[in-house]
Amino acid sequence: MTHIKRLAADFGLPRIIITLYLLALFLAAPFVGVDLPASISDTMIRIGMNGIMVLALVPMIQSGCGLNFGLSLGVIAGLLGATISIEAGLIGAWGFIVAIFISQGFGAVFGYGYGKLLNRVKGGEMMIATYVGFSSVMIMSIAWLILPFKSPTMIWGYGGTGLRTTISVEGFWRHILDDFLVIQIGDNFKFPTGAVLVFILMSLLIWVFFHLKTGTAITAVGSNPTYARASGINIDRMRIVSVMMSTMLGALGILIFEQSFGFIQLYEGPLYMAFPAVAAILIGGAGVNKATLTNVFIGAALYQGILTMTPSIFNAVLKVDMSDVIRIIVSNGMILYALTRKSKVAK
Amino acid sequence: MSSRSLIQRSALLFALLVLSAWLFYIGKAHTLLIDTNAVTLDGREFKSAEAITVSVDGKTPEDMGRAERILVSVSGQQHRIVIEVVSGGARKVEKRFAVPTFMDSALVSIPAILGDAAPEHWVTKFTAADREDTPAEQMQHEGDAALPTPPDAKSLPSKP
Amino acid sequence: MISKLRLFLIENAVVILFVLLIAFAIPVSGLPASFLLQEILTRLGRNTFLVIALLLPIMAGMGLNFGMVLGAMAGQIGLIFITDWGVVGLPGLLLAMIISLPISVFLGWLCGSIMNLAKGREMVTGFILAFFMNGLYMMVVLYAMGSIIPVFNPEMLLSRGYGIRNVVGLDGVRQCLDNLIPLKIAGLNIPVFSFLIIAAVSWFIVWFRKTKLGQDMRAAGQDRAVSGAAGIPVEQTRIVAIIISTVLAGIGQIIFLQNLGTINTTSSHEQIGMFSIAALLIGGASVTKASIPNVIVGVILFHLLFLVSPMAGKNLIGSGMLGEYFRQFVSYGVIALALVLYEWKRAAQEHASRATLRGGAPADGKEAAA
Repeated sequence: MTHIKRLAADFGLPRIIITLYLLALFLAAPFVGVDLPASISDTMIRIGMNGIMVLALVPMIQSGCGLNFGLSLGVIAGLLGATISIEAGLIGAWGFIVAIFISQGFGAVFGYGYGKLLNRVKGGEMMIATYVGFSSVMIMSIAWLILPFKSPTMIWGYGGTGLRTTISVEGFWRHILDDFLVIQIGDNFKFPTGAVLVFILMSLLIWVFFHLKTGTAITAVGSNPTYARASGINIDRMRIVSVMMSTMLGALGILIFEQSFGFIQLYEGPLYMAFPAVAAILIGGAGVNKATLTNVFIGAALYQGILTMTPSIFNAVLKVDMSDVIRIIVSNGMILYALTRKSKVAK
Repeated sequence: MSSRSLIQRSALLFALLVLSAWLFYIGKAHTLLIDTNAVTLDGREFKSAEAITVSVDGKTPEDMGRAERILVSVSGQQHRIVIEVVSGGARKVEKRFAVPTFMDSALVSIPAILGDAAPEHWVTKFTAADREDTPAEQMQHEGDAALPTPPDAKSLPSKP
Repeated sequence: MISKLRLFLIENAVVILFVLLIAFAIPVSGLPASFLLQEILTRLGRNTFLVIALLLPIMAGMGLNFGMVLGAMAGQIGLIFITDWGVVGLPGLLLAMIISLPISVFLGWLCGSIMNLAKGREMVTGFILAFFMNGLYMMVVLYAMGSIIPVFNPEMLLSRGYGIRNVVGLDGVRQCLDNLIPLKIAGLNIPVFSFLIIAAVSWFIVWFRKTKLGQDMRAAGQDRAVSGAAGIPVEQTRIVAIIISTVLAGIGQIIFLQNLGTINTTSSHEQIGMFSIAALLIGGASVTKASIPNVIVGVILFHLLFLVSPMAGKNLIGSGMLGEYFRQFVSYGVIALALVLYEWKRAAQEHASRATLRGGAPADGKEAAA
């Protein structure tokens, strides 16, 4: 009994429930006529799509800035990269690479300003991040209306002003990573090798970074600011670095999301982009002040698994689509759980 | 919790429940179908007058001929109806009647009131023919499902 | 004298900024004054009560109560029930309020207890709790109603046989508070009775501040540790503040919806928190200090901006969406700004108190900080 209790304490009760729930969904799948390979394939595609967005949260959590609800700032940088690259008429791998470079530039600039701001509001980062994110999305919505874009694939035809709400990247770089070295088995199973490889590669880079001097300094700032100050670490600088990294990773993350999804969503699209990523990393066991790459992997897999499996199983069994409601309850319940706990991390 | 505050709280709760019941009783809406069709009660036929005006609970009077029906929305049980007979010998009848709380739609028979039939015949329960499913909602619902959704539409974070 | 003027300008910077902005936008929008005046009167009657619901948690030091959305959900559930039962008019509205009462009290207690687990980050917790509860609310309204919870009127249900329709018409109670005492001055309809209710609740807030509980609340808001040591049940007081706020939000939502005349089952409550908070802040309130005048000025300024910005945007660059995005930007931006100012002030105070402590005046350290 105590053994189970300790396990529950280590792993976190909500995470156990979520894992069991997902397990039950997968076990039930063959009996209710849900195509398991297709579901697994869907889950993999989604992990590839969303993985880097989840990864983007790690630096800021590590530096003690909390959950980056302002990830939409990074998303905006990514959108700028994507639209400018399309405006320039670049297609294929080149278009994608240029989009990444441009978005990283914007991400660095936005991240720097955002980091400067967060340094002046230590202790209240999360709420401010949320609203800074929201208001920048709205400023950008105005910008999408008035920026002088010309490419006919992106602007409204007759009678409209500004860019379209959704822009297809078909013919530019749709599935450029998903289809790179893709493993296709039958009609229903597809493994998006490219996207997953990029996710693993970026995770490796982050892992290496956090074992180098700057990375360990960032962790020190997050876990023990007093000690960090005493050992001569420039706290504000480390925090800015982490915010910039987070924003730039967010920019990369949205580009990878878009190449797989096939569309760029402007205007209010990025408004809530941060929330699923935050829910995922918390489901993976991260706390408000500590996150590991294991948290990222487990979290992305569990969260995307639930998102894929819930609608198909519920539709097959109950003939109702409650997936939206379940998604809302699971993800926000997880964030709530993390906020109300003393910052302790599950293994 | 002391027993005194327990009693106070129970009393408050009880008062609220009584208040709710009372509010329900006085606020319950009824649809009255004011009807001038001739009725036969206990073998006797009652007929309405040629032209009358009807007013319920002091609302603007409405003109009615024979064999007509008008709709009036009221709330509560007790109502006052004023019927003015315009044709023939002009006279004014003012009566009170009650609609049972759980009767949503009630048929109010003018001939029965004018002919001084027993009050239990004035108001009868009205049951409409089974209504068909409203097609508009049906279509909207099916339309939603039939919308072409991109393969991964569900993975889009909409609202948190 | 000069410094006094400067102080006034700094203290009311947000209000002055918005007055200037609106002074610019009204002529650009080209909307007639009579229209604006009527709209503002209507919106004052419709929204003020909701904004007042935010005051007590601010006094209790819990910041802007993003959890007020929970009360709005309770209010909507009350309205859905009376519409289903066919209770109309003033009795209907009162009954809806009574039905919402136990739900708001329970949700408020839950919200307060959860916020007590997350001291220091009450706002973000309330913000997420609102989203979480929205999931449960949808579960109740879209799945349980008509299947587990009986719904008598089939016209309220979705065609699949359970779940409330997206739009619930409130014809039975529509504007029955606003028109209870009809008054027309110079062609303007004035919702006298709604204003009377608002006056009553304002009086309640002012009175409540003077009670023992109100004083405790203020003390708990200023310093939890000191008031705890002084024997004030801090956690309980904080829960009471949130419960009152939630109950008021529930009643406020009912007043709000009787004016509109329809409920959007899944979305009427969602933005209420954000709009109310933005209005309060535009009226010059901060995270730690808010008063009834802030509420009134805020509702007027926020809704003027709301009214004129789409037309102003259309006349400026030919897109109505510009104004729409702009007003959303303002709502979000003013909240961000208020939060930033609050954190700056707090950091400055901490810095000051640390300096005093180092300066060797420990006894006065707390005083300086407060």
